[in-house]
Formats: sequence, C-alpha cells, structure tokens
Amino acid sequence: MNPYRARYHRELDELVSDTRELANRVDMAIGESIEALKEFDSLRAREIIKMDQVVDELNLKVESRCMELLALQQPMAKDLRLIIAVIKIGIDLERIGDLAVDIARIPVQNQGMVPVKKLENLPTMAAIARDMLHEAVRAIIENNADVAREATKRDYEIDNLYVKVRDRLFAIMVENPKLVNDATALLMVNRHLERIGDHICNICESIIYMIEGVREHLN
Amino acid sequence: MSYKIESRNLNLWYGSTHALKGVTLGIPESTITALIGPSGCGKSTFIRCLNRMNDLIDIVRIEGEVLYDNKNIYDKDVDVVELRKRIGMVFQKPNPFPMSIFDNIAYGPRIHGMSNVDKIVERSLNDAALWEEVSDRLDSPAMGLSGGQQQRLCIARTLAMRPEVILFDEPCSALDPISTSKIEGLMDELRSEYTQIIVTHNMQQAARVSEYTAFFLLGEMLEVGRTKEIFENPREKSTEDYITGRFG
Repeated sequence: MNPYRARYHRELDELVSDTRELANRVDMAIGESIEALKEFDSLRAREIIKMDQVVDELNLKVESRCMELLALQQPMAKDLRLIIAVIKIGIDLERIGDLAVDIARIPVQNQGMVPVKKLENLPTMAAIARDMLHEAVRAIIENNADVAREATKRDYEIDNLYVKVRDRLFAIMVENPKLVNDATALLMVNRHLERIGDHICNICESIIYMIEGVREHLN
Repeated sequence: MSYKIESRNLNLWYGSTHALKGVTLGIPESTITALIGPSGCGKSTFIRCLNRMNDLIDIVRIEGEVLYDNKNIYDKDVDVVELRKRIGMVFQKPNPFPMSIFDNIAYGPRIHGMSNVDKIVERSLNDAALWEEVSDRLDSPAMGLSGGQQQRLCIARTLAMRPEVILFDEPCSALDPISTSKIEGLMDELRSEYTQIIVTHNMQQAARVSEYTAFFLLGEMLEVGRTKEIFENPREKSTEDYITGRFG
C-alpha cells in the first residue's frame, strides 16, 4: 500500500486509541469524584479538578488530528464516519469530565452535613454510568454496534434512581431545613449523574453511526 | 424509476478480453451520474457504449442492450450520426479542431445544415461559461486558449448540437483546480436541462457534482446508489475499500 495511505490508516487507529484513553480518564474521574464525595475528601477532590486539564488537552489533541485528517486526506465512508464519531464522542467525554469536576467541587465548597452514605443510590448511579462507559469502549474495540445499543438500555436505571434520590433529598430538606444547602448540592450531583448517563447514550449513538452508518436516537 | 438511458445486461469484448460483464445500469433524466472505479475497470468502455463510440474499434463485440428513450441504440435501424448528435461526449484531453474559436462551435451546426449559426455559437459559448472570455477574439485559433478554456470550448461544441445527454470522460484530469471548478460549476448549471454522466478518478469530484454514483470493478458494475450513500455508507465492502484507499 502507498506509504502515505498506510500512515493515514495508522493515524485513524491512533484516533481510536486516543479516544479510548480519553474515555478511561473520564471513567476514572467519575469514580474518583464519587469517592471524594462519599468521604468528603477535599484533597482528593482537588486532584480530580486538576486532572481535568489533561482530559481537555487530550480532547483538543484528538480534535486537531481529526481536523488535519479531514483537511489533508479527504476521508470517505467508514473513515469519514469514524472521524465524525470521534469528534462527537470527544465532545461528550469532555462534558462528562466537566460534570465529574462539578461533583468534585461539592466536597471543596460544602460542609458535608448530609452524608452521601445515606444516599447509596448516588454511588450506584455512578457505578452504572461507569459500566455503560466500559461497554461503550468495548463496542469500539470489538467493532460491535449491538454492544453499544445494549449499554444504552441501562440509562433507564439511572433515570429511575435519579427520581428516587431527588425525592429522598426533598424529604431530608423538609425534615431539617438546616440541611437545605448541602441537600441542594447533592441534588446537583444527582442531576450531573443523570446527565452523564445521557452523554454516554450520545456516545453509544456515535459508535453505532461509526460502525453501521445509521443514526439512532437511543436516549 | 424511468431512465433517460439504461444498459441491460451489457457485455463487451475486446477480442478475447471480456471488458464489460453484464452491466445493468439506469441513468435518471436531468441528473449527474458519476462512474468510479480503478483503472481498467470498464467505466470508460461503458460510457463509450452509450453513444456507440466503441463501434469505431474493429475488435469490439457487444451483447446486451442500451435503451435510450426506451429504444435500443444497437438496433440496426439506428442512425449513429443522429445518435451522437443527441448524446454528446467530452473527452479527457481537450481536443479543439485546428481552426478558429468560432469555427470550432459552428462546425457541427453547419454540417447538419442548421440555421442561425451565429446565435448558436453565442448561446453555446454562453452556456459553457466561455463567452465573456472569448467574445472579442472569436476568429483567434482555438489552440491558443488555455487548457481549461479549451475544455469549455469542447463542451460548448457539444452543446451547440443541443444534445440531451452529455458524457464526460475524465473531463478535468488535465486541468488545474480553477479550471476544474469552472467545469464543475458548468455541469451544475447544465443539470436541469441535460442528463450528464461523468467518469472520474477524483472521488471528491464525484462526491461534489453527482446525485448518483456507480462503482465499477473488473468489468462489473458492483454498486450504484445515491452519491451521499455511496460515500458515507456503501453497501459493498469493495466499494468501501476503493473509496477509502484500501485497495492493494
């Protein structure tokens, strides 16, 4: 094969591995932010906030390489779909990273009067989101759109838990108005986790488009 | 769908070489259809079948049908000169006649006894987006024009005969990007009045100008569809391998 073309195909492979790396870092950020919140560990939380810069830089690097490939190689068919999907997945991953940072800010900015241990469903939501993200990455590795389709089904679990956590927090606020500030912060965490689930659904849609060329709305 | 021109199980042999293998392909009216595929795949051979240009090659044998307005152009009663008047062709290399710009355009109308040749020349040059560049030097030799202008002159010469179908065999492969852009713009303007078929090796050109794309490989037409679908999500793996440069 023409060496220029071979290099181009290698660069496409690298785009995929960089996207996996981005997903792994974001996955870690979700896990760490929830751990920091559970323990109300502001030092750990500050680390996560600092690490978000790495996610942003990696995303920018991926985006720049996509632009370069579009400009120089005029990709077609599955190559074009891959590049478009990688750009879109990058946007969703970057947003998930930001939401993890927003969760990590809670132990930095609040007093922790409402212990997360009382709200086990919050860590469960985060665990489901991480499982979904792992499956999305597996769909990319195995080039299997059905794995991505299956992963999106778990978003309903997150949505159901979202309602339960919200109602529980409302009840806590009614019982003890002194806890309104912290409970409101946890309402935001609840919302962020629900949004993370939505972004992972978007990622799965991009993966399905990348593999099969069809646009499905699964969120 | 009804087609302006349609091949049915078209086979062609150059001596013992089977160059077109059962090609069935319909070209809708007033559209641009691009034919793509690697060198030697039969796309130029195919396009030349559509106005019987291959008749000029002694060793060629053709089987199957090419229907033009539902009439087989290979029927014995078909007037080939009249057919080529209605199905014009523009070649890879501009081939103006060694005469003036005016005479290049007027040549066809004159030998067909058409009247108002002056008007035909002006209209054809206008339609080919060349009038403004040459109107003050119609008596100059056509060979003095640039490559891009010569190619538009050849298109004007084709338009002078008021064809219904125009076949373009790699019309921009010898042109710079500016001239290429002018030819593509011209094809776009002609879209509503003419059925156009273009053979091109330039994937981006096929994607830009055409509504339909057909992929040829080793004498077979493997896939045809809307250009958007062919370039975004082709059905055939070999089409995908070709347009993404994974052949070889």
